[in-house]
Amino acid sequence: MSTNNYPVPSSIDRYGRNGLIAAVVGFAALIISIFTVSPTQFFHSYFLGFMVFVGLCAGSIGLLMLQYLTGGMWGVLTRRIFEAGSRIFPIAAILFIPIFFGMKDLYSWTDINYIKSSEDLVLKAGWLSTPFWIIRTIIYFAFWIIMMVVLNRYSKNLDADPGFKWSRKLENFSGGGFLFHFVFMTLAAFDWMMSLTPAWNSTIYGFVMIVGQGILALSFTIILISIYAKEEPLASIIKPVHLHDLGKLLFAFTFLWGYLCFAQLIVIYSGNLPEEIVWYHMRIRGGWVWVAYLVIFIHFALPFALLLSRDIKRSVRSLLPVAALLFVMRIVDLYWWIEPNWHQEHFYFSWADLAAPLGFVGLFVFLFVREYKKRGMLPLGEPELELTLHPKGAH
Amino acid sequence: MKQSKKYPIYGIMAEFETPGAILKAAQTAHDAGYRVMDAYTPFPIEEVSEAVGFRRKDNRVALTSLIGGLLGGLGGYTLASSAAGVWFPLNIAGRPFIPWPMFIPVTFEATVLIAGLSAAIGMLIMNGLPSPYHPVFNVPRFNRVTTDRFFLCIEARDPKYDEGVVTEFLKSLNPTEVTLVQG
Repeated sequence: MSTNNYPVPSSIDRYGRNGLIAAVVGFAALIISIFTVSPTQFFHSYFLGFMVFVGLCAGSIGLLMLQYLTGGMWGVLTRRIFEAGSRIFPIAAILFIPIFFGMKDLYSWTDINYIKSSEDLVLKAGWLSTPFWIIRTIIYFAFWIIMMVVLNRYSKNLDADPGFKWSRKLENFSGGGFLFHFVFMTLAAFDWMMSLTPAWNSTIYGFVMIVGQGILALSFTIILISIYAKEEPLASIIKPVHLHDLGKLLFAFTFLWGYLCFAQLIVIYSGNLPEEIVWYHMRIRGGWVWVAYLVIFIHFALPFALLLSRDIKRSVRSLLPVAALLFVMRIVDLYWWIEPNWHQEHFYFSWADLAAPLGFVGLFVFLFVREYKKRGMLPLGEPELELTLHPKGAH
Repeated sequence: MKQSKKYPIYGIMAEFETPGAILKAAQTAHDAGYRVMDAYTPFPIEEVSEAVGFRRKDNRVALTSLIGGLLGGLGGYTLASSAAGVWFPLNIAGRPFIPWPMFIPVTFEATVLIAGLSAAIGMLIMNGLPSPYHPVFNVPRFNRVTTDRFFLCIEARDPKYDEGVVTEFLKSLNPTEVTLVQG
């Protein structure tokens, strides 16, 4: 084993502290909103913030498995970041508990009279029943926590016993795990977010959420790597070719996300059926259309155009702002997906919707820094590590 | 085989056995002031193209592809919206005559198609392919360039070209062999 284990620079503590401050401010503001705005708004905003938080955890675990499956330098470079992100899942499970108490404020289907008002909903009543929904949520989190534990334990074994034995096991485990991650995340997206509009459905919904979480976790990772690209131990490792790989992946994710969102739109737009079109209708009425334009042009078109350029992908100075932009736009997009459910006529914005993402992202950063410091920046037992440290121009 | 009367000799070629050797040779030649030269290797070596003085701004394929893509996208959208919205307006379930979401697939496909074709055709035009005749193949040992040998050729078009000087210079780089390339 190498004597250099690439420790995380101690300057990262500063970000952890700032994260904690943001978390305290955000959550304090969120609690104040119970009394000054309304408990209902508190749950709406809390749910928005939670979806950002769980998106960072789920995106991390998804990308962690993806990089085992594809291999390559980008995965070796980012693995410890994804691992640290995935280890926050138990906290996400705990943070879900308040949502159980807010179900009446979030989900119209908890009201039996509402279910009875429509024949379609009566058919869904078995699936959308509160106890079953809670059990399913517990199963989802159990699945992710088990995945997280196994992936992290295997990775520790890989450090102790470098070589192909454990890296093969990780690859095989990730293959199955990735498949089930898609199944469970799709179901979770249906349960948590799609059922906010219980009469409406879209089969691609889960996939869009998964790719969105991928953008969120990847842009977080790129921001982190860009910050530390100038500082040892990464400064002597990171070369333009590494950033290029990450930039290309961010580009691919952005495009895939846009492609899937459009796939959902065109099917519904072509059909133009009242029960389907309503989802878009409530998102373009009364000022909401400006948020939609923001999502189309700033979340999709602008990063797409910027990331086409090779030079932008290869430099820290230009890749970092694009990643930061996408990170913020992910939150705006989630806001556009969640909030219009309760404000269908007019654009609505409560300051609690700002406090919640601030608190949750701050909390994530704080927890992330704590986890990330534990195991150094690079996987030492990884067979591809040498290639990552000294990339060849020719292959 | 008369190619060009102006340059009966195409250049002088040196053969090397390792990627490191050709990289060093190309750098030395560039430092010595030679500009019109080319390196031939069995596999791409990014540093060598930089060493022989090839700069990314010389590569116009990306720009060609971008322009092609923009024109293709614009063309696709214009075609669909003029056909269904202007020349033969169709009222489909009360939608606008130009329902933009319906035309995005056409726009997207046309963008990809024309961008891809512009890149491929532009690349062929700009790198001069297909090229049925090239003087470097007059060197019999050059066949090994696709297997295990690396070649550096300083061309006669180079302003600093002088047969004697260049031969001596290339010999000083420790090549396996130095050959005169007939034009």
